[in-house]
Amino acid sequence: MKKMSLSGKFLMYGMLTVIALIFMFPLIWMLVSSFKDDAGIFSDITSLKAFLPSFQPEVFFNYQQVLGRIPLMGAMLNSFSYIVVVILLGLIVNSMAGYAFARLKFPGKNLIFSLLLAVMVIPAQTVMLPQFSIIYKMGLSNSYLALILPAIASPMYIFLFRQNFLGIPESIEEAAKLDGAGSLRIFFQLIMPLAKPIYATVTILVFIALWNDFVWPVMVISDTAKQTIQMALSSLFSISPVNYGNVMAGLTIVTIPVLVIFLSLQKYYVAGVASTGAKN
Amino acid sequence: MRKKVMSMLLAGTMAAMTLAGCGGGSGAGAGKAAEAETAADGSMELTIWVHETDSSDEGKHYASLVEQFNETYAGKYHANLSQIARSGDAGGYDDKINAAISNGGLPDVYTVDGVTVAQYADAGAIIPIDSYFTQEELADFNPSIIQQGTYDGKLYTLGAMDSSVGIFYNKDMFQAAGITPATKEEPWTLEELTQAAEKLTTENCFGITMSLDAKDETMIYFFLPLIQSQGSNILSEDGLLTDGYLNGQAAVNVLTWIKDMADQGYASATPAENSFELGQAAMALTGAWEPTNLEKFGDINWGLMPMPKYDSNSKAVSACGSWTFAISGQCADEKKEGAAELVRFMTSTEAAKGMFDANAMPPSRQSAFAQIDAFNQEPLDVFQYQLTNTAQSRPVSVNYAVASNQFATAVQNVLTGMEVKEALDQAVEQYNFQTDTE
Amino acid sequence: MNTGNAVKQKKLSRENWTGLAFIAPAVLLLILFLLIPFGLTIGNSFTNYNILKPGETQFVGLKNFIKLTRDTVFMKSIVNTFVFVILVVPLQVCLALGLALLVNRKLKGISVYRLAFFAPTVLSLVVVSILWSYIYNPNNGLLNSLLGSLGLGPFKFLNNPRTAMLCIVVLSAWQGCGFQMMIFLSGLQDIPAYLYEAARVDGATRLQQFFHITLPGLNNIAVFVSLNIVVSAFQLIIQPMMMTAGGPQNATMTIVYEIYQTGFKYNQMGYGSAMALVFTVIVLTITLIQNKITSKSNED
Repeated sequence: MKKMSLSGKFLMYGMLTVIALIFMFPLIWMLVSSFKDDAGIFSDITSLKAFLPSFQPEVFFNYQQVLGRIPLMGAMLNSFSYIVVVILLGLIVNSMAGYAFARLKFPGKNLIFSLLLAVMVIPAQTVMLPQFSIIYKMGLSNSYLALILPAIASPMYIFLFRQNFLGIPESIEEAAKLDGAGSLRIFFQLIMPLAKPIYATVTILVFIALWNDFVWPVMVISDTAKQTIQMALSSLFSISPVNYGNVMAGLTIVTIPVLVIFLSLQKYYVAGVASTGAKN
Repeated sequence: MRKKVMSMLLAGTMAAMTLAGCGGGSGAGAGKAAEAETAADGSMELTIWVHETDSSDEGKHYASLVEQFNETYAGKYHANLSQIARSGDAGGYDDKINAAISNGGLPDVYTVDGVTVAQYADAGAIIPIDSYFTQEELADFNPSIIQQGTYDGKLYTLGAMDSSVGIFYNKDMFQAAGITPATKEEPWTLEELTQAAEKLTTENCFGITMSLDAKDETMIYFFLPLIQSQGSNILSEDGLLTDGYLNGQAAVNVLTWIKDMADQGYASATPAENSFELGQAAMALTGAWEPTNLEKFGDINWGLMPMPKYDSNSKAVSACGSWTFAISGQCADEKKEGAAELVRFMTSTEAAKGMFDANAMPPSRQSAFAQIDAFNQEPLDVFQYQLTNTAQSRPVSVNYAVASNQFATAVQNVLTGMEVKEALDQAVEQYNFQTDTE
Repeated sequence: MNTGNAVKQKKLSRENWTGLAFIAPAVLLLILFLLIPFGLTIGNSFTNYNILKPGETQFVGLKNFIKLTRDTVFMKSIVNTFVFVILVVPLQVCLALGLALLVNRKLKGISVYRLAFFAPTVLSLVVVSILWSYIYNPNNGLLNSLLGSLGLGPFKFLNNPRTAMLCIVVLSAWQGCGFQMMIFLSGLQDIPAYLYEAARVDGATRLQQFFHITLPGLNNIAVFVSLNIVVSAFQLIIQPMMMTAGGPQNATMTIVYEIYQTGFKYNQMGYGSAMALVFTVIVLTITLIQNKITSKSNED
């Protein structure tokens, strides 16, 4: 690849930065607001000052207040543990199904796939109550299984995996098949390592979706010791008047793990079009 | 292909129906498993749900009350508390209650927002409690608390806290403009309020902020008293009809006034949160939570005036209502006595007083008012006066949610250019359609 | 000959079993937690089910569906939802693809830029909506003061029934495109590098590479992304709920918002289920058509 010229690089970074600012501004607002009191937040909100920091003598006062009010750390740990289980199981279950739809032959494949598209469009709100009834009748109320089981299989991610696997040249598998490898081995030893970026993507997307989930955890979890992060955060919003400085500090804290996960998974995206998959 | 999909879906439905016993198997009134569980020490186990987690002071107060209850009734009753998270509009908590109504699993006692009493009572999800309380006990509660908890002639709920709405004003700005504030006994008329707002409005300062952009229950909470002030309401006495009420002359008058205030620029129709607290509005029509908010901002030298009345021929009416405690329709018969005892304990004078300490809300009963200094002196005495003398609850109606939502929509429509009468007629039409009212 | 055929058949049936085993866990979970609940919803749509009165549920035949045909707000919400989908889908696909191409390169600190573009999806939509209502505020909001300095406006944005939905379109595309950017990005990674190398050797320009390698290589992923955006666009609810409450004058009322309001705020689950069923049929039809068209163009 040709090396970019210095001015080209400069231009590229400039453009990226401008666009980045357009996309970052709520994050910036949230962060700088977490260091302001409500008077500061609302007197700044009509101008660009909303995005500029203005520190109080006690810089972290909102953070201290929030951490004093809410067991955020425990709740983050709760959320984190069940989400990790969902992601691990979900990646396997959904990608296996996606692979089957992309590559394997079995009876009823087209019908089941159409049905999959059908359930993908069902709005979550409409099935929430019956879902709860099922969890309740299974005796899973107030257990993490109630959070985990319904979240594992996702028609959307099955579809995404299928589309991704369709893009992998079949020639790779043919060679392995000739060597006598079974589908299971091909899938786990060949396909999975090859499709790391899509696994990374789904991990990020599932993590964020569950990290931000509120209503479902409230419905199935009653025990305060088991509460998820959004349940813990909710008391910041529930009582009038809302203390926005505290809200912003709380939101900043719970956003950090998401950012960490996002950045730590970046290594699975091979930078640029330099190399992937089929060596030949 | 499509046929196949449909037949699969149908087959799925059939299977599901058999599995789940076709809809809600255990009805709300069915009652729990007959025998009452008892704790190790022989006391009767009770369950209670509240809408605040222990992360808030209000939530902590509930927890400590239940603890005290268990000490007081040791050996007799033992209450188990669940504190359930909710979003600002009660999403989460409400969903959990609804799910428990369908599937069973409601606790013996739970908190109910004042405006939903009629719906829950009508559905049998809460039961009357009059028989557990004496007339003397009930006489101590604010009249509006009883009014809000009464459906079809029976009392269903009691609360520990109440709320009220008044006009907070900036004393310095009033002085500068030479305006004398209204007293608690002599509220302003809308005309007087408008004149004051006109005088106080400047380039950088609204005369009054009234949360006109809220588009939710706030609209009814703030403006229904002005309709009631003219002797009308948004729903008929039986709580079923809106025609002639929601679109009646009284409502037309109020919405015309609101529109006028916004059009003249005396009040902001768009988001202007905390403008009063920042000195960008001279008055704020808002609720009893405001002093806590003002504390965060400091600097504002504020006073409180009562809710205005419509005109000199109208009576003074003010808003009220908050969360309350009720006995669940699924509470077993032999537990009802204990459940009532728990409701009594959660709404006692001490509980109401403690609630003020926790969240600064006015108490639900006179004996608690007497013990809280803040409500016996300026500025908060206005709230005590209103809750004792002028408060009227919102309609106790099974269709309240629809009517309230249509009112808020009408206000929004008027502020964005629709004619007042047209907007209210449309609200009535939509109400009739949604509730199948012919 | 004979034996060869037998072997092939046996192999095929073994693949059958493998295939079924591969999908079994997902299918079982989906039946339990999506298909059965949805079946119940379909069942509910023929009843007068009220959330608070499950004991009084009665079969009412097609009553709910007949009522739907007279429901002017529901009709309006269908139109609004379609307008939203038609506007937001192309905008969001282009934004997502553009961003993905922009960050699919070797550059120091590129993951920070990826993070930046992805940032709006990380935050709760509730918070983002609150901030945007201040930006759109007609009375000294940020956008108006910005446009004002260019000599434009002031505009009423969310307070004008004609522009309210447009404002939500812009906000939504901005908020959601980071999500699809990541999916495009993982798709871009699957395009074998040797294709580009070969093209360069042949002297193809950047533009030619884009049209002849990148776009075809993204085909499978683009099918997913467009479908994904269509489906999620149809489910629009939080932005209007937080910013406009469906107004002004029902200009931003959407189907799912209407379903939510009817089912959960008015407790009319039977009627709400009928709406949900109609909604699902509409979106399903469009999805199947879309899938047919795109997979056909795939085969070409």
